[in-house]
Amino acid sequence: MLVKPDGFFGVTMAIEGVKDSAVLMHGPEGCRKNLWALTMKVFPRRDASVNMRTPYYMGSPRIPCTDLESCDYIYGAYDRVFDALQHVKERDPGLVAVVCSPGASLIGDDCQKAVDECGLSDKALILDADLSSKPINVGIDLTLRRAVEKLAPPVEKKREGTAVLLGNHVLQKDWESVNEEMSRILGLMGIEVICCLGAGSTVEEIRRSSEAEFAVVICPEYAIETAELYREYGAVTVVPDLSPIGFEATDAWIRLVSEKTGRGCDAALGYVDGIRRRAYRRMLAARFDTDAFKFCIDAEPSICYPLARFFYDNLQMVPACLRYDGVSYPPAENLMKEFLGRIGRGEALDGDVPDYVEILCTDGNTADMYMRSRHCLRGVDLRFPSMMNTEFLPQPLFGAVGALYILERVVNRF
Amino acid sequence: MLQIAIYGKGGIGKSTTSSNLSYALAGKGLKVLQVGCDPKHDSTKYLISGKDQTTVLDYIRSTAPSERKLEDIMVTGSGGVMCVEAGGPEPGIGCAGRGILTTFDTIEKMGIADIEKDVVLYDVLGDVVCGGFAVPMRNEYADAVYIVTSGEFMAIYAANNILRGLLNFGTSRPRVAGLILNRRNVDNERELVERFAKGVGLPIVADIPRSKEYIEAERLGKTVSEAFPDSVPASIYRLLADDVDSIRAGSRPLYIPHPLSDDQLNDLAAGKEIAVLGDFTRVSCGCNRIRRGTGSCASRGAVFAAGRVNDLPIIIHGPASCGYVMSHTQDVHFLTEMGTNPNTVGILRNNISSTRMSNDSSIFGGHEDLMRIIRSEAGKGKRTMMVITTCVPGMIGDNLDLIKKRAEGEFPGLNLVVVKADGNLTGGSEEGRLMAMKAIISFIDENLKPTEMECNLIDDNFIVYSSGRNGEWTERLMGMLGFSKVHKIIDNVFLDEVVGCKKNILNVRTFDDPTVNGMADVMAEEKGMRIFEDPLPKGYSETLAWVEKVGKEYGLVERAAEASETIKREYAAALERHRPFLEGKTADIIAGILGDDDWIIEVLLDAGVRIKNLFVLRMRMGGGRGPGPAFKSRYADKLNVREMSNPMEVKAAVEEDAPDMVVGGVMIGWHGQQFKEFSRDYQCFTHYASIEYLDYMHTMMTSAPTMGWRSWGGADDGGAAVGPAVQKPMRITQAQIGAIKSRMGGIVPPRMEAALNAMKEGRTPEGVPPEMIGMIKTMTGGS
Repeated sequence: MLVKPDGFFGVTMAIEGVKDSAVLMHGPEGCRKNLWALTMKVFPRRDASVNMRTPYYMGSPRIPCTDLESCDYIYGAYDRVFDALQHVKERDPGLVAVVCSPGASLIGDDCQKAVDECGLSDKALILDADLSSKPINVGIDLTLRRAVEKLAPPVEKKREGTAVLLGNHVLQKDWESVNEEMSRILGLMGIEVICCLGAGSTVEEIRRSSEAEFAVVICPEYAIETAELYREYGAVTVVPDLSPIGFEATDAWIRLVSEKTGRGCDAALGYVDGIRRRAYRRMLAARFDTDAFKFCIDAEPSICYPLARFFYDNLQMVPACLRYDGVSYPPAENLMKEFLGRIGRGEALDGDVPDYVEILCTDGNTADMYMRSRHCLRGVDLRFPSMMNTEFLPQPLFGAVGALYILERVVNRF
Repeated sequence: MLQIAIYGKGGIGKSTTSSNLSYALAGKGLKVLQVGCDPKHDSTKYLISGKDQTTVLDYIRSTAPSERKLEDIMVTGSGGVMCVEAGGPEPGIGCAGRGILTTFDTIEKMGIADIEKDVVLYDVLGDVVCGGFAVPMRNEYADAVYIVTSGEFMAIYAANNILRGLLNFGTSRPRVAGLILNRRNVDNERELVERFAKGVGLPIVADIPRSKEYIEAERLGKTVSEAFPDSVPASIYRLLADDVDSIRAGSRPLYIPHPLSDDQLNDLAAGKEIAVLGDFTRVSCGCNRIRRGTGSCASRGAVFAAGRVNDLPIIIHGPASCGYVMSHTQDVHFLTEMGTNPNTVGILRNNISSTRMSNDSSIFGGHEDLMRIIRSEAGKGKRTMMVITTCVPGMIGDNLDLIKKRAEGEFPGLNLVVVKADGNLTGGSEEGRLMAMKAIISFIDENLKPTEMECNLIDDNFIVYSSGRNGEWTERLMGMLGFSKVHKIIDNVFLDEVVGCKKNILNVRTFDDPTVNGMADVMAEEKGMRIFEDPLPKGYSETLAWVEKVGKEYGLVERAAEASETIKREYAAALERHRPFLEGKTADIIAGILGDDDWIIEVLLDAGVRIKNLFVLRMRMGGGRGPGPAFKSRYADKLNVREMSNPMEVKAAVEEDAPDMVVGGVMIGWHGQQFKEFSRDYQCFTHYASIEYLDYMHTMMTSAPTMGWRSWGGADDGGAAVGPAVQKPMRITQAQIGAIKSRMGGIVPPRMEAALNAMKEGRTPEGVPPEMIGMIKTMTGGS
């Protein structure tokens, strides 16, 4: 996939990641259709009160749409926003977001007025398309920050030993298992996760998230602004340079959490070690030859670097092409530059994907396409999950179990 | 703090009025911020000695958000007035209205609210009344609105338009302060404006004469109030400042606008008495019909069609999200084909790119974004490429003809094909597909003669054809007739194959469908290709007739006769094998989205299945506007045909029927109802589809009664928290429970057991997913 989801998708999917939210797409149905399919794929929800005839929902319980037509761009479509909001309101969601498509943003309909007149001011956000074509992580991060500002005012009294988990999102590979894995690790450090922001938590959980003593980030690109907000709220924030991907980076992440929160990390490190030993035993039995395999990774810098190191250090694989697709995170980017220079592979950064590469780590559909067209031996689905495949077994990308997922994808041939 | 907006026709003197008023307000000791909302960015010019200042929109193009500082775009002018200019694109490109929206958003983020001020004054271009320029009118901005006008009719017309705009922002609180007459010395000027003011129910709060002192003050780079404080205009601006102060103090009224109708305006211009005031009715587009979704936009349709030429670079001119949606859709379709059709060869196309138009591009135009991508593709040696526009360049008026000329001039030999799909401004997916198809058909070499015993299939998407085994069967049938190869026009082909396709003898449409027919017409009319009259045949008897007709028309009578014998033999053998298992079974049919189910009906009847009802769902034609085409079937007078428009109605009727099988039930299966759904009607081409369907029905009839997984979930699984349906408790009897258990072979999951017990007692079962309730309802025939 040459074109990746952008900030506009990020804005919408950030809200869709809140369990009892509702996004009203102000725009043509074409803008909504793919988002609807995506959200039903990654976070399916049923709503028996929505049927094929419910106005603006058009047969789907998620992402109702004002369904703009050409004349609406000329005459404006305020009435449609107002009317659609009435239908959204009937379902009593905890959070409403009116997301204007890039085209609708040019009309300038007064969505705030519609929200106010519908009596939704206390739970509605108006989200413009100004993040269109910006990186998706910016859209997710800024939108979740706005949601928290709206729903969860700061509280003075913190609940000891609790955390809000940041930097996971519903377009992440098996995000539910990521929540479970990282909550398990934090639990072993005596930290209880009370909210997984943007990754399945409810509005009520978000409301209570300002009581969290800690704000712990998994993938920093998606949570710089939100982490900063929780810091302003008085939470101890843990923002890593690298995401916990692969055993080594997971160990480092645990140590960082321990250092910032003052919680012991022996049990968590022991858990990772147990899984590492399991991986070792499986590797003894595996029929594989990854030495001198070339790999390409298309991912955020904080994922790309530790994953490259995981392959390089543990499987003797060599980077052929590493891309961030417009996402920037200097701490990880600097580490990557230093690493590639040291091993004499500087040209891999931002290089073209070769015609054939053994291992390709990227979004789900592209991984599938490359494998099916025999342009790679194994594709590893990192995010924007494959529309064709469904994870039945837990397959988190992060943490100790995440390392197993990566090994399973890389080592096995079928 | 008071926020006021000064509106008026372009060139009427808004900026002069605004800057003089700001200066006068500052002279009263007030802290004033003036925001110029005109792309020509000269509102505050004479407050800052005639100099240019950095506009907000220029600033955000060059400065990262983290580095932005308010002082970089805010200049302190005469009298301490704080000056900000929005700026905007060059005339003729981009969208200045979008620029105003962005300016307000940006200065808000930069902390303008934290600056201490008593009055904010917005100077707004008012004869352009798009949503962007109307932003200062919104309730959260202007507390009071002044409208500058002269006695010229166009100025009065613009003033009236502004009042109409204000009306659209509500009448809950009065916000119009009055008219400012800035004289142009036209005949009876005061009288005309007074008549207008009376008509709309507003006062004239200032009457400013023309004066040579303005020209002299401009020469000095100052406002007339500063340069000539004792002049008549300066004294009037001070009085106007007093008026603003009265509004601040709440000591003078504001007004609700009563704009004139067009007829009333004509009366005013003609010097007639203005007819009785009526409420101005808001203009709407008149599209009051119920909408039910356009499906996709024309751009997506165009990309979908053009993307099937493997080596044609496609540039989507629009935001990255459009590019993602369209390329993602392509990937999913290709992967779906690969997943359902073992014969599909995976081809990595990677031929779609996006100009990634940003908010900035929406304001300043997307020409440079597009040229950047064209240059990149040309640099890779590409000499044919297609640009498909989305709604954003369509709305801001990017000139694609100009870009084509520029690009082809820059790269000799480049053929840049432009498809102006413009999102949904030109229509839905079908329109877009046809636009792209026409562009691709233009590549066909019309000088070739049909000489090869090969076949071109014509379709705009090949979604159905590429699913399951349709392709394999079609090739087998063509082989029986002597055609050695099948080309898909246009799917999974290279440009050369398209260019040379006229040399193939047989041209066949896959469907009798408006878009496919449109394509075929273009191929026939513009390229002189002979299109076979009948589309690809579906099912047994249609295939027999089709083969015979091809035989006659193309001189293949003997081959056709042999093929017919094979077809009859193969179908008869399949019937003999499967009929014993199907005979006497009952079925309901829900007419499928393809709207042509005769071949399935034929199979059912041949297999001895009794059809209880044929439901025609009138909203089934997804994607198009308006009702679907009238239902046609050669069995219409032999079956009980029931037309319905609501899927829930169909669902209820099928429940009542309780047939052994529901053909095409997927439409209502979406709603959680449990049926044995016979949905595989997409494998429809040739008599092999009938043979396969017999086997499919036989297999399905021996499968378990329901999909058990539907009962695995809990009530809160998947976020049922949003608006759970209110359902009445359903009561069932012990006998019904016994029947259910028997039907399930005596094995009932514990949660279902608990649900059954609760229902027996008339309680609402707790923690039971709707699917399980639906299953129980189906098995009991309850409601």
